[in-house]
Amino acid sequence: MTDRCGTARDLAQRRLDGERDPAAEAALNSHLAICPSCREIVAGLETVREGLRALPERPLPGVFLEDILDRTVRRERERVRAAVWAAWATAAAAATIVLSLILIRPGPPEAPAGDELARARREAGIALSLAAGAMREAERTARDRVIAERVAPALHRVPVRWSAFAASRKP
Amino acid sequence: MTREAFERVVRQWGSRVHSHAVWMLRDREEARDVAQETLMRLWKHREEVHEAGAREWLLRTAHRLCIDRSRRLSVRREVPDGPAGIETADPAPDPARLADSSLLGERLESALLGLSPRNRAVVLLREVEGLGYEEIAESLSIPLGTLKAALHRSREKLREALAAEGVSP
Ligand SMILES: [Zn+2]
Repeated sequence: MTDRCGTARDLAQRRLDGERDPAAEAALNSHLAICPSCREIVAGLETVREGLRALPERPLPGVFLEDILDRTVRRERERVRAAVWAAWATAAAAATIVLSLILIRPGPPEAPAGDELARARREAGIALSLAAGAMREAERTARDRVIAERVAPALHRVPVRWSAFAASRKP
Repeated sequence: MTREAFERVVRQWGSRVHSHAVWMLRDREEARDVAQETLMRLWKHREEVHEAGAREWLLRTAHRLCIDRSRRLSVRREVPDGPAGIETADPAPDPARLADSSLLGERLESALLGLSPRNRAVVLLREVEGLGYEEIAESLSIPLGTLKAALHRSREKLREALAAEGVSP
């Protein structure tokens, strides 16, 4: 092997690295034209490159893939479903209590007496604590993140609705 | 990354991760463990990883896990730098079969075993997975020049191993 062979082999490696230099390319090609030993080596390096690129994939068996999806995506989907269901159940329970408070009042709307307002506030308090209890139940079955996104904003709106309700009933 | 994106990534790249682990560890059970652990880690970090960069993230993570495991397995199996540890699948290969790309693959897989774990990783991440040089250098915590020198030496060793096996271009 001459110095020129060493240089040519180095250039061949750089070419495989993706370096593009027309002068180096020309020098390599003119050496390869006269040196069978370097030709063989460069061809061998190219075979290695092609063989590595064509290595057959070793597939992860389907059962392992499904197990991963069971433990991640599918489990999360179930949690979200349970959280949404619990949030709806909570909202429905709160709505039922509110509606029943409105509907069980006999007669046309009239100015509420002081003790009636106090009773309404107490009942509202009970309704809210029931809703909060249902919420805690939901939290046990669902992720905190989902609860925070869907239930907390709803909870914040409940007292506002109650004050609006009480105000609407003032003469 | 959304749940749907995670599922796509798992289906698309799960086998690449597994393949890398098989070539690094040459142990089916260990490779499956690494693939599963890598994908579970992606699930845990899915908020930080974008779908577009998931493949590189998975390969980097799988590679780190492979290195940890190969250290544990090294007492039993690993071969230091040098061609001495190359396994031969068939001592008298039929020349017609040598032209077959699957036999070339077999020979190369065996020849890869003759490389040190780091050089094997360099070859796999660059030549098989096509990751960028900077990315590989960063993953393996080696300078770019060292990476290229390791790659050149490894290509040459693989070429010599194939030539010794009678696989000619
Ligand atoms: Zn030459």
